[in-house]
Amino acid sequence: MDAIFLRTDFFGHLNTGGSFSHIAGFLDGMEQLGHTMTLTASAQCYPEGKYPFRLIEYPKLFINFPEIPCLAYNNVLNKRLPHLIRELKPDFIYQRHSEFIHSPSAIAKKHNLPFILEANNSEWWWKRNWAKLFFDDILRRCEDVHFHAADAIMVVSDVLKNDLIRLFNLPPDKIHVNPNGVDIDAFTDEIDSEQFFSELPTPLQTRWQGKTLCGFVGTFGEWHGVEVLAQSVIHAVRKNPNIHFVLIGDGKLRGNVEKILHDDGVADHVTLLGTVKHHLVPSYLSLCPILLSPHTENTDGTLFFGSPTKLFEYMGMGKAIIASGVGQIADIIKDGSNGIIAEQRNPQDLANKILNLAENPTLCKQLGKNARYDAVSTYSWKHNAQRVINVVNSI
Amino acid sequence: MSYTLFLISGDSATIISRNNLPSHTKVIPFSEKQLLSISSTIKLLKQTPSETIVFGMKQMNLQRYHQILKGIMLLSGKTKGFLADENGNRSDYTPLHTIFVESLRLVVEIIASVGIVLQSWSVLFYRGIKEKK
Repeated sequence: MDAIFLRTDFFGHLNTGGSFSHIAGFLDGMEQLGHTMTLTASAQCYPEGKYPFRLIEYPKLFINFPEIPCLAYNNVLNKRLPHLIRELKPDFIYQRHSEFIHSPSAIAKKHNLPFILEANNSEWWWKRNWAKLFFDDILRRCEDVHFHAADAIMVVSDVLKNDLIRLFNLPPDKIHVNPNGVDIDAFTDEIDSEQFFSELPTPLQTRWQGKTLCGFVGTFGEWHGVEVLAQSVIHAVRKNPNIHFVLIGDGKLRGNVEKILHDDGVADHVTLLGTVKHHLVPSYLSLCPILLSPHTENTDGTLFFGSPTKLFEYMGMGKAIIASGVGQIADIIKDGSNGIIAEQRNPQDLANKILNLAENPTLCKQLGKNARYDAVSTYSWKHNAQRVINVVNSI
Repeated sequence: MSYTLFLISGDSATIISRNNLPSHTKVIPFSEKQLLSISSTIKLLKQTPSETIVFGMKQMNLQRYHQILKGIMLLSGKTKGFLADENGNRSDYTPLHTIFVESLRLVVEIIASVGIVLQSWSVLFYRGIKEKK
């Protein structure tokens, strides 16, 4: 099949983070299945030349006020997308949902093409609760008409599916749960970690030599539980000073994390690597026998609706995972089989689980082996893409 | 010449090196939210003794409030400044250009924005009725 993938957000060039991994992984999965996707976006988001790409820029007139550029982008799509459809003759249109964009569903309908919308949240709900929203009524209407007009909506979790049904009164059979996935060739248990270690700068080698490394990767957002992780360090290293934490990523809560570590006097037991190039992340993770995913329910008390890409990447690495059992994570990590479940927002419990695994390398290996098996058999991007194709075929 | 970099987004060291700013440039974190209170932002700039004001950002074409930032520089009595991004792109500020060109551009954008909002609302209202029929 041939399809058009619309990336309609305002974020510009992306080369790190969960959304980049998601888009790149999905396109790779489609390619592995033999389908051709032409990607459109307001900026290049994938290594140039890997996939057919068409630049559809945001209008240059609107540079002063928030939200207006996205509303105006609907007009740009109305003008450009029909030409692209006539030229490429796609079998379906796939859009990664973004705020205020509603025209692709109408365009697809006009051209009698199946329209699949990938919704990773309700932007209206998200902005209303967690960000600044100026045009509340318009954004709600955008999502209402767009969700109702889509032939199918792909969401990452059951929690999100139920949220969309509740918020927009959508028919349940229109919404399909498609968890995120992992590139099982990049995130693999076959990385030569000793070779990678020998190539590291000497200060890092000295710091990490002979330690049991516990890894974390994430964008330091509220729901990543990175503050809980920081609070667990003192409990873990007090009992086992050989444990060392490696935190990859950067973001809003990094300052809080640094303060917690400093106040607890345990900064020497943690390496904050900051942002690391995407292709190097698996190599760093390969050094860590224990990987951490201490997600929390949302700060406003609502359920965690995500499908953390990092969890699947950890599984691909074949390492022992300790994760909080929130939202979809509780469905994917089977406690004691392919990982260990820790109580969310409980630094002491997280530390206890880390201490236990640090003393049980055999258990770590078994958990990692099972996690890798699940990643390969169910959660590769190829499986993710196949679930979309199954939905397209059913329309 | 003294410089102050108000960092809206991006990495200050990259912005400083790509735009050939002096290494001793003073960096002050600046949030878009501060623009909601224009009077306090004007006050902040007035209290900044530097000769040249720079608003730094990750990517120029994705940064909003261009004319508003220049208008604030104007209202705070600054005569030299520019917007700069991590790629070395710059948008210069001069009082005369802001008064005679940028302000007119802002008026055009405001009118067009009102048009876009009205158009969007009416399209969505119509589609809302149609989709739910």
